[in-house]
This record gives sequence, C-alpha cells and structure tokens, in this order.
Amino acid sequence: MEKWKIIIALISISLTSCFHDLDEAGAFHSKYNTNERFEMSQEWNSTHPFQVILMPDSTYSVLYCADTHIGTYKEFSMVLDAAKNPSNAALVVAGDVTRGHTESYDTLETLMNTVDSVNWFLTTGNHDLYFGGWDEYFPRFGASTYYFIVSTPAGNDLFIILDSGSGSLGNLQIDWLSNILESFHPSVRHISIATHLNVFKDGLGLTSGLPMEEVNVLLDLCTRYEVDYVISGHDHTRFETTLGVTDYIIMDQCHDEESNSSYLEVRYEKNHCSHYFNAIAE
Amino acid sequence: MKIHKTLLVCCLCMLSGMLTHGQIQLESTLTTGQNQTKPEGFLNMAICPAYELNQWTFGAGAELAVLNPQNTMLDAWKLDAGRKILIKKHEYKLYGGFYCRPFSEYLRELNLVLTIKTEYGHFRGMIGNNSRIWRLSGKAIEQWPEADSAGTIMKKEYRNLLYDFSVYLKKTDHPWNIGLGFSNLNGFFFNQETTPMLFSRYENKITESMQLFAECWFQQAGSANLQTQYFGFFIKGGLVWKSGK
Repeated sequence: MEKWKIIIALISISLTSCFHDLDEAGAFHSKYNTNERFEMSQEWNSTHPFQVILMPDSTYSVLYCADTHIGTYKEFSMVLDAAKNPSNAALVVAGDVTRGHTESYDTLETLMNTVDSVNWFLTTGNHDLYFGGWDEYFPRFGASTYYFIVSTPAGNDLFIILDSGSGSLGNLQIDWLSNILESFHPSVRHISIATHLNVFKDGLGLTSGLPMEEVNVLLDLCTRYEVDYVISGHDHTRFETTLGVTDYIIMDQCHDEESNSSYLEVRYEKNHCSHYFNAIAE
Repeated sequence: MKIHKTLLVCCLCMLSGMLTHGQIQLESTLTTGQNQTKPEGFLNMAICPAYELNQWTFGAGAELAVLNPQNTMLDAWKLDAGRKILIKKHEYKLYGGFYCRPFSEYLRELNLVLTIKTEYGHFRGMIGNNSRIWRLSGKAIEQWPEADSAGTIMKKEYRNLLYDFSVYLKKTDHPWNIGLGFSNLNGFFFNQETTPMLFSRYENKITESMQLFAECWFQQAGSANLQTQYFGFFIKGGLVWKSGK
C-alpha cells in the first residue's frame, strides 16, 4: 500500500512539473467567467472610447497573429517589426499572448511599451487566463471585448475583438456583438472579427471550440451582417474556409518553441479584401 | 404560415408511425433549461414515432421550440433507422439518422449520424460519428448569388466523435433505474467531441408498454481548454409508449 502511495505521489509531482503551463484547477472553475470579464471590459470602454485609426490611403493592411505564448518572444518581435510599416494600420493579437504567469505579463507589458508606432490590440485566450491571469491582463491592457475603426478616404472599416478565453462568448457579449453589427452594418465597408477560439473543428483534437449553440448564433450574425472575416487562433494549425460571404480563418501559432510559425496579413481595399500568410523565418 | 408548416410536419410524423402495421413506438419529451444563448430560458417539445419490424426500426421526429425559438417554431426534425445485431450472443444496435436544424433564416445545420450502442449489466454505452453540414438557405443564396458560384454555400465537418456512457444503480433491464453519465449528444443536438455534458437519469416502466423518464443535464464550456465555465443546464422529461406489449 505504501509503495502505491509513493508511486502515485511521484506521478503527481512529475505531471505537475511537466505541465508547468497548465492550470489544472481551471478545468473545473474560472475565477472570472466571460460575462464578468465582459462587464469589466464595458466599464473600461466607458472611460476609454473606441479608437479611430486614420489612414491616408483607401488600401491598407492589418496584421493578425495568435498563440505567441510569451515567455520568449523572438518570433513575436519579428511580427512587431513588420507591423511598424506605415501601410499596416494595426496589429491584432488574438489570444494566448502569454502563459498566464505574472512574469509572462511583465515581459509582454515591457515589450508592448517599446512599440509606440504600432496600433496594437489584444484579447485573451485560455492560456492568458490560467493562474488567475485576468487579474494581470485587465489592469495592464484593459478591455478584452471592444471594437475599433479604421477610417479611409473611401469609407470606414469595423474591427471587433471578442473574448472567448474560457470557452464561451457568453450571453452579454453575444448581445453586444449583435447590437454593434446592427448599428454599423451596412454603413461600413468591411467588418472583421477576431477572437481566440476557432469556430469550426473537423476531426479529432484536444482543443475545444465554442459550444454548438454559440457557433450557430455566431454563424447567423456573420451571415446576416455580411462579416468579411472571422479570425482566430487556438488550434496552432492553419485552416481556412468560407461559408456564404464570410472567411473563417484559424491562424498558425507565432511561438518560438514550434515550427511553421506565421502571421496573417489582411489587405483591405475599396471593394474587397484579400489575405495571405507571412512565414516567420527562424 | 410557419405554424401551419410545423403542424403539417408533426402530423406527417405521427401518421408515419400510425398508418403502419406492427409494433409502433412513440416517444414524446419536454425539455426546459437555460444557457448562454438563451439566458431567459427555453422550452422544447419533441415527438418521435417509430415502427419496429423484426430487427429493424424506422422512425421520424420533430422538435418544436415552444418558448424562445432561435428561428422558427420547428426547431429540428429527423428521419432515422436502426437495426439490432448479435455479436457473440450480445445485442448491439446500429443506428443511422439524418437531422435538420433550420436555426437561422440564412442557415441550416444538417447532421448525418451513425452510431452503435449496447447495454451490459449496469452500463449503457454508445459511440459513433456525426458529419455536420452548414448550408445557406434558399433566401441566403438568393441574396448572395456569388456564394453559389464561388462554391461557398456549405461547410462540411465530416468527423465528429459521438459518445454516450452511463452507469446505473440497477441492471439496465430493471423496471426502474437511476444513473449517471456523460455524453456529447442529446435528442436533436450534437456537440463537438471536446465538449461533453454530464447527466443523471431516472426511468420507470409504469406498465409493460409505457416508460417514464427524467434527465438533468449540465453543460460546461471549454472543458478541454483547461479553463472552463458554466454554459447551461436543462431538464428533460419524457414518455415512451410501445404498442403490442
């Protein structure tokens, strides 16, 4: 009996050390659920109005990446360098920016403070919320649900950032999304949505997506309001599909410890948008 | 007009069971609960007639959203067939079904389901696959004809593991029973394989031909992300009636 207790204790210790970046308690409970984070985000938004980025040309790009998992940030630095190009209106990092530890957030905050010339926008992924990560994210970066506008001579484009870090968009965020889409459509040229969790999933895999009820609500809204792009990360495997008039894209990771990293560049033009992936050279 | 269509589908479902000879089965259920997409609650009613002939079962069914429908009152409908088979003297049930959920005026969710299930002692188990197809409705194709020409009117997900495992206090053929289990499907609804639901079930065979059951279901979001939260719950009560017993 004693022998078994020792074996179980050794297995537990080794598992804990192997999964330093996993918050096992989070499998059962989140300190803040999506609705609570959304309400905090809205409070933040009430004192920090949405940003309008003015672009002199009607054609411009926005860069997207996800799953940087800072720690180290060699590859993410390359994306930040690319984002400094004046033809890029903004950089959106769609979650899992950190590993949830305080030191990860310290590194990220220091890094982002060095790139004043870039309009960067973050949201949370599941890893950012590990180990009580929302308590680190919110005071430093504010809202995880918000929108911004890119204004060009030919019209305005709407960018919506959603928080799906704990597996659900939540009813408050869904209502907010619906209201935003209704109030902006069809007065804007293009609409893009970025969030961490992927909408579609085909085949076996350990990463879960949104509950099917929410997937169907999101698909309905994207089709109804002619959303151009829904961009996500989470799976660390590139995937592109189109349903109706909406492109659904899962990005590669942008993580030093994995190969085949890339970031996404979406080019917004007067009557259409196009996208391509830029490989990050190691 | 929508109500007329719904009533017509219900009548057809009933007639498909009643006009045939042999053993008829009728299952009717009421489901109520709440989740993040329907925080104010919902109430669904389902009727599923089936006809059993030798080892085969042929069925149909419709689920009506009585309270807070997402789109139309006809929430979902299905056509299905099953066959009992014996492998080493143990009975298994093969099942195939086609499900349609017109959840939006612009989109339909279609599911092709294939499962195998069995019972052993205190256990019930089922595994299978569903292929999910989202398809633009006729109205959407009319509105965006470019989607038709570009071949983007549907999105297919061929592989999604289905499972349903439960353990019971008594042997599964006992007149009454109570059990616990986990599953990623219920009735007309199929979750992704990484989003299991927990449930408890009470069932009672009140006569040889009639069984009552009640289930409580708990839905968790993001369970395989290791960062989870409550998503919803629902309670389902039903009656299964079989003729000729």
